[in-house]
Amino acid sequence: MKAEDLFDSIGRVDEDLLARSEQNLQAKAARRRTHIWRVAAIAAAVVLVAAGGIWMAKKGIFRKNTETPGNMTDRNTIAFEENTKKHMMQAVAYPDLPAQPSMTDYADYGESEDAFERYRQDYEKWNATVGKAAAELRSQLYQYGSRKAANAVAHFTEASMLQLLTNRGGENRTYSPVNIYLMLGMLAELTDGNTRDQILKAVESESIEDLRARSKAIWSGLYKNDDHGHCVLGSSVWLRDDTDVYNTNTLERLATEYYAASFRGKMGSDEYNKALQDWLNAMTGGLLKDSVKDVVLDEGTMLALATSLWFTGKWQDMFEPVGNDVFHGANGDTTANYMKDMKNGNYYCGEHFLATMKWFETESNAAMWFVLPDEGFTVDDLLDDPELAQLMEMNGNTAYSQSHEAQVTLKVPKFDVSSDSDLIKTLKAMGITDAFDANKSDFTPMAQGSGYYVSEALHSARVKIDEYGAEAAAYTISAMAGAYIATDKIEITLDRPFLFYIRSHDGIITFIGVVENPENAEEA
Amino acid sequence: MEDNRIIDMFFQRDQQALRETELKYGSYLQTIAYRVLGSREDAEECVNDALLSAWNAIPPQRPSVFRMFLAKLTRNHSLNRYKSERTAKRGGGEAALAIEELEECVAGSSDTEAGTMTEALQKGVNAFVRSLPEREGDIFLRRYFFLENVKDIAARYGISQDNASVILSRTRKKLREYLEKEQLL
Repeated sequence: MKAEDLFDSIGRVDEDLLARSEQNLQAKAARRRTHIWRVAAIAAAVVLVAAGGIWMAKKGIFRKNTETPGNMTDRNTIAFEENTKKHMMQAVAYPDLPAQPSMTDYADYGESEDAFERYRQDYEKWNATVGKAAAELRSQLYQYGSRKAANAVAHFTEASMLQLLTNRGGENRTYSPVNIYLMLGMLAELTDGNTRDQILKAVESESIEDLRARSKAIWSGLYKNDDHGHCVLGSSVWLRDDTDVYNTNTLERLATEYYAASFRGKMGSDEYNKALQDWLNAMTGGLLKDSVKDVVLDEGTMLALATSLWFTGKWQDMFEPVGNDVFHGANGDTTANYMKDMKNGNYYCGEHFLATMKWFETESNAAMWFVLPDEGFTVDDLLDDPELAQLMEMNGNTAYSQSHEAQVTLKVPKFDVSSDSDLIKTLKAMGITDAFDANKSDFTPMAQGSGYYVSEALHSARVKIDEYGAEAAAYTISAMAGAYIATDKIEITLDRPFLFYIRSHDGIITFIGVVENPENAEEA
Repeated sequence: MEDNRIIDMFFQRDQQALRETELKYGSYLQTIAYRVLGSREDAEECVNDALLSAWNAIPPQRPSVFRMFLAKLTRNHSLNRYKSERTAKRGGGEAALAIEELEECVAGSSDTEAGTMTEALQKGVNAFVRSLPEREGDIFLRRYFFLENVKDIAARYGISQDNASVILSRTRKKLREYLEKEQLL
């Protein structure tokens, strides 16, 4: 026998042994990084108000749901106040998919074979039940066509960002394309005729059935709600309690296809407004409290739709704290609190920008992308740059032709950006006009009567990225990740206004924004 | 993206599976190939070959540990290339050193079936690694599967390079004894 034969045989050892050797390394790293969390807490909400029209009777049409509202699942961390539960007519049950066992939960993992065996058995048990259910949920997106759904959201992002991210006046700006997109899906369900057609055109869908299937596919593909993080798209319908003109079939469809909870109460009352505010806060992890406190429904409101998106995730690899340095902001130089990451990876080179991305941990199924305009160009220059659109869509080989592998050093300021947007102007610019015009709108599927129109469409979003923890440990982890020696090196320093977006692994853009000034970051 | 999801995409014959695999594991697999070959260009080609093999293997196979499944494919492709390039007297990375170290495990064995790897040997090596204390087994695999150098291994395990070398040397000796006992030499 030759040494080479032996070497070949080592190449065929069981995969669990190989995995163990890696997991033990990771477990060591995990032990070192206890207390070090990289949490990105992100949220968005849309409140869309339909007003006007006439309502006829004053008796309730909804049966109080026997299921206890607010206790949607054992795992669910979303809890509502009593007042909110009181108004809830129909709760929605979100899939209960607990996180897969983590090796770090096995305290003696890496030090005894028993621990490994217990971990392995628990993992297999999880995989056979929850893992399978999660795969089935996700498969809805594939059955619909993940590329088709992702492209539709990307195109919507490209069109809407020209409205929502420009004219910032030196302010930070962010919004959630997918959140608004799903809101439009619900609005399409409430409308008919030309009103609906305008919405379908704006969201690139050929029919309400297609949009319904697409919306559900997107919801299923993004859903995550466990110990590792959240990506929960919430929906709710807010109804008057003094009329029964509502079309129950439509409302039930919103519940089954859009996971929309429904509420009833006295429009314009403090109690009902508080319930809506509580729902928004609960569904967004309290991140939008400052904006939510101002959300109130006018007494003339016929129906309000509220959708939310709450995302939390940890970085897959840690940032190393750098400290304060200059940020050349829109309103002059300021001090920002920077962090740094060095890894072998890809960067993307457009004619007028550099971009790279940072993964959230595997379970979050998403990455944050950072796009820095070249010197002499602004974020606004990028917003209608076809190369940026190609990058965002990651479509075919185009984006890959811009891709270069290198040792990428990414220096990013911590930031906490939030903004409120009035969507009416944006949606009108995208061709959705009839829904806002009482004389032209068609809300037949929503309720009997006429003259309904959308009077308000408000969107709030906040994106915050942080890092805490020991410098040495973080540096060690980064160094471990960099075993491959890339020949090229590049440093991308985001020290002037830049664009960011969060894209799921299936290509769905959940958040996008512009950081003009990261001064809201916590002090170093 | 979760491995399960990528594998689902393989099953659906969605070519995005390859892109996602490359995005997630590209650098990792290139590390493995680079260590075998010592050439970035060759390493890239081997990773591409490994991805193609994965595409052909899934389905019907559903790997239980996807990352390691890819690691094995990459290592095998890299080793095949290493062998052909060594014949052409070019190339060679950490693999040459690792194989040289393993010589002591097989020195003096019969050479009747040169180049032939038997199933018994594969099973034997697997059982041997499994029989080792976990840390020794891991260090052995870091060196002879993943081809990490002693310095990196020492740094990862927080031990001195001398200590890592001693552990590897003892493990090779044990392997020799094991192969003799099992009459695999």
